[in-house]
Amino acid sequence: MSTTRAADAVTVEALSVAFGDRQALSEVSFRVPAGAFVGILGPNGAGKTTLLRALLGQLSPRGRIEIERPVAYMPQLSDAQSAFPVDALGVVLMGLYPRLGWWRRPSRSDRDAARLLLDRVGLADRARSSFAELSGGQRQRVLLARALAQEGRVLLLDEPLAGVDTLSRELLLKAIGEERAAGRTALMTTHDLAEAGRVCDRLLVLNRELIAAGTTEQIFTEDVLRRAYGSDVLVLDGATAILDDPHHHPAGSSPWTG
Amino acid sequence: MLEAFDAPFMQRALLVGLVLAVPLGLVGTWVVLRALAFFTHAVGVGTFPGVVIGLGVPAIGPFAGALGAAGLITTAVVGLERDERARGGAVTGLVLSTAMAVGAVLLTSAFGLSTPVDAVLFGSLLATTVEDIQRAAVVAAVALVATILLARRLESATFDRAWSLPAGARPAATDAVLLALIAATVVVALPVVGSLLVSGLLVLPAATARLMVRNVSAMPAIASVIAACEITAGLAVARELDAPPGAVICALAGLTFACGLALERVPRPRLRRA
Repeated sequence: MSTTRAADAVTVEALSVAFGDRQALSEVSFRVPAGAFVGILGPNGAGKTTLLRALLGQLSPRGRIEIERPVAYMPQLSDAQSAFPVDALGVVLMGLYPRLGWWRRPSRSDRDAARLLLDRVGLADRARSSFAELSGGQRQRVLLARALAQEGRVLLLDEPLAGVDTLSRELLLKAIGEERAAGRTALMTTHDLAEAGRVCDRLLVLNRELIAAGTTEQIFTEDVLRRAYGSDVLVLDGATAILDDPHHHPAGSSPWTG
Repeated sequence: MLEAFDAPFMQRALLVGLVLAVPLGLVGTWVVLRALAFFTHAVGVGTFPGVVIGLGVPAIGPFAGALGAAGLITTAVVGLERDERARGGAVTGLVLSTAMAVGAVLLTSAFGLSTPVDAVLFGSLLATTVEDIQRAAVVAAVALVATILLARRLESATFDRAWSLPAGARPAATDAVLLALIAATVVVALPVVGSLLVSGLLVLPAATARLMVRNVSAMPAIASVIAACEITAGLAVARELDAPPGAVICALAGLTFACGLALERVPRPRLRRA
């Protein structure tokens, strides 16, 4: 899925990760050209988050990973302690610490930079709102702004669009698009195949191993989807539908995608 | 109230109390935000057998005994909780009650000490020495420097550990420093509040401060001021009632927190909207 090697932002060769006896990922190889927006798809337990953690250098996997640095990360919203006393601006400022130094207090210009990032995700007027007061979609936008503050060459996004309202989704995608226009690369895990097909230019389908990698047209075939999702695939007269685990779909979004 | 502090022993108790307010507020903030109240209580109670051994074996002394016990309990709880089946407070509860039992047996049988048990458990006005003040000052200074230097790491690691690890906040090392600070603060606060109530002073002022802040940055200073007020008032009342100071201070701190909680629930016009 790459053009020339030099332009690859991520190269993964024969990546295997095991947690005790359980093999989370086996022999996964792929390349991501710089500037791509990659959707990482697969059912529950397919190893999507594990792949991101391996790319972040948190696991000690077998195989080879090359990734353009620095890497920015947006974990799942559920990882954040929403009751923690911090306002939206404070969360975005956290994203500056790795570059500015953990010992330093943020300066006025750091605060201005953080405010600009909040503006980019449509939250300029919520800078002083506590994280707990924000809606789910607004929290996701704050977490993306924190990742943007890291100024990574590669953005790793874990379920950034899960459970967000339409406005938040559009603002998140707009900000990710701006990053790509600036030459950055984004990898996003998602359960939403339709969404991924619409917004990503490349897809990786995982199910503990790499099922397929390619463009939307190459991926959306019955064969690939059956290998990834097994019996949870319905093929209706040429249109493919995936019955994914409904608990990943918050109220209001349909478990049926295709 | 001021005449309560006429006696030199009261002045010493007040001085150590005001110095203690610094680490109690600074470290207490992270005890509250990390939900480490139960762990802190185990460390506090865990010092009880240490103090008893220190009193029984003069070569050790109560301070070294408490310090050793606090270090041992911290290591034991952290080590045993590595096993996922032991999480959720089971190990902490086990360590806490074992320490209490061992302390009680040692105090009454092994050493036959004349020290009244309530002085060890609830603190004593007469017990404060100049050395206690010096030790409290050292811990206050270390806690001040450490919590300022680690503020950004503590904040990131507490708010979102999944992000903080790859971002380089070194959450595990930060945790180790925090746990050491908790143990040190507990040990130096013992002469005033005693093993059984020391956790109350690490938790209650910070929990009250938590009700007042929207942002973590203001919380340690507010918690320290609240702790200082509660300790000062508590010492004066304890002198008046001839009651153990730890008990009076903690009762006041609990009452203050309850008032704060009640005030929050009273409907009132909002002066400022975010």
